[in-house]
Amino acid sequence: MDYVKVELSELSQSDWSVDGSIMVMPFTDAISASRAAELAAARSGAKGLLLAIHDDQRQGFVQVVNLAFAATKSPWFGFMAQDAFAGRDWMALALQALHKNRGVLLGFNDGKWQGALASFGLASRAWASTNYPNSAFFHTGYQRHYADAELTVLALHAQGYVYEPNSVLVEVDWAKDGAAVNASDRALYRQRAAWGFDSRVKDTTLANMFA
Amino acid sequence: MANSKNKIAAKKPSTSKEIANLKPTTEVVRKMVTPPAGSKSRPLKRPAPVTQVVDQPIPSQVPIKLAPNKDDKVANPKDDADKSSTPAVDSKLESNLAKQPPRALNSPVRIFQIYFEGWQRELLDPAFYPLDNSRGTSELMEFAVFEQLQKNQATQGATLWGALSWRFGEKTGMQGNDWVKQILEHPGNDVYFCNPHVQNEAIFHNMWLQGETSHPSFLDISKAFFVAAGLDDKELAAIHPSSVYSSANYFVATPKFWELFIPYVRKVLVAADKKLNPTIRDVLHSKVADDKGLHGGATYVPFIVERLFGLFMRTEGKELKAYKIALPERERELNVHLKLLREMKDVAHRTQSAWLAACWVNYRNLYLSQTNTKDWCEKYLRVITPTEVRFV
Repeated sequence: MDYVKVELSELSQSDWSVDGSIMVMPFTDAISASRAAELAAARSGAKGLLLAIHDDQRQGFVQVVNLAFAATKSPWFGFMAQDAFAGRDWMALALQALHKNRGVLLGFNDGKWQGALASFGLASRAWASTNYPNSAFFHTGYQRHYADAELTVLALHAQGYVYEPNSVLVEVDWAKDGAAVNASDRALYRQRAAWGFDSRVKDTTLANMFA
Repeated sequence: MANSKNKIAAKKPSTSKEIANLKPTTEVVRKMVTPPAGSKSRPLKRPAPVTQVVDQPIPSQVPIKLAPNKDDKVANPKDDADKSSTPAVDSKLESNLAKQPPRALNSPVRIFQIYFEGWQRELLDPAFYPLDNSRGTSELMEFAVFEQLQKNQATQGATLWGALSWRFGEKTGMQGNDWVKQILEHPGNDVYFCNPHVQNEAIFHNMWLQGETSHPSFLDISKAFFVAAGLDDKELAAIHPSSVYSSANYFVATPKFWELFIPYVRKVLVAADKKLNPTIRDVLHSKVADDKGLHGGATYVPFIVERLFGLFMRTEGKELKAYKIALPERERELNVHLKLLREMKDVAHRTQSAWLAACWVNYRNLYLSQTNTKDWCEKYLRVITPTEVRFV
């Protein structure tokens, strides 16, 4: 996997077409991002592109991923953070699992959610591009949290959610366990869950899974 | 979208003049990824072009490479002798092995499975021979592999051969052994094929109209291609029965089939290239066809070639016998509407009933409007609904 670092403001100036996977890593801490991205690219075990995007306009994780989704072309598109630590062959194992299971979204082993939630994930572009209007990857109402939870629910609803425990992208954030979630994101998630995510998810147990 | 090229690709032109205005993307996309100035990253590499076809016997346990890697080290027997104490090979045995393909490749049915990356080997079917096409760069994709295999010693003497993709199991839901069993249980055919996208049989008149929903301006490009190649473009709007639907180039066939099919496709491609308006020809060979990058930046050519099979079987291949292998896993995924729609269309085709075909179109449009977004329906429903009912 190749690794490219780019400023968000310059994202649209290049043609990001890849025959494989594009993994987006929004970042604000250049040192952490470089360390994480270099290791992840070297350990991926598959062709593709790790696109580390410096959020120089402070758009936030969700918006950066959405902009990257719209600006790139590839069969598979994923997201990770600057504090990710990659295990060996993480991308190769993820792709194998997705193809074996005809999956649309894979949740990496993040060392936290045990597969219940794709906090770092890899999705089929063909599927992801049908979820929201205007080529958004995540629902645009979220700022920092719950966008991944909603995407996971949609994938579960489509019977295409895949977890491969050997595909490791651990979140290494020493201070995050105690951090509170964004209140407005939680409120939005609950509201959307109550409406079955635009009436798509009729199973209330599934819709309320993370509410 | 990222650049002007994408904006052009996203807009659906409705006339041939507008197609001509489509800007081919080849030169832009070929660059793949260019790191911005100051980046420490490496640019993505393109593989070197195929330069040679292997024509030596191939050991069954080793993946077959259609194009040898120039960087691969050539084994030097002298080096090996220095490093190990393996006794020298009997000269008679060595000579025999050099003359005869190994036992596995003496099988009358030889099915190869194309793959491109190491991690894909895990997904290959043990019933097939791994075929390393990592250095393949032809825009013809699978068809280029067929052409190379036809000339390759690996297919010589086979009664049936074919090359399937590494996604065979995922797409068909079948094991290779079951596929071979189907072939053996239905002997006497020239080509065995299948259609992994069974839902298309229910909701599209044919695979050309289906292509319009997957590749920008596919019908207009295909029509220009047909006219230039001297093919009958009525094919593009006619109702085809489900029995002839085929996708993914999953063919296992006799040498007789390949001897007819490969030159047919070549002839059609050459004729189209020769007579097409240069601007449309540039679009034909551009990556506008894969506007979302879901097919490795493929041009229109492989999408047209994979749809020529049905036409070939009704024209130059009409003497050939074909057997369509059913895919139970994919059949199970059809809902009740899709099953009814397919049956309705097939009955309309069999009885040549324009009235029933019109009923099918109405039901089909109702189904599509319930299962797709308003934008999708506004963009495609009219285009994929020919006003005239015609059967092939």
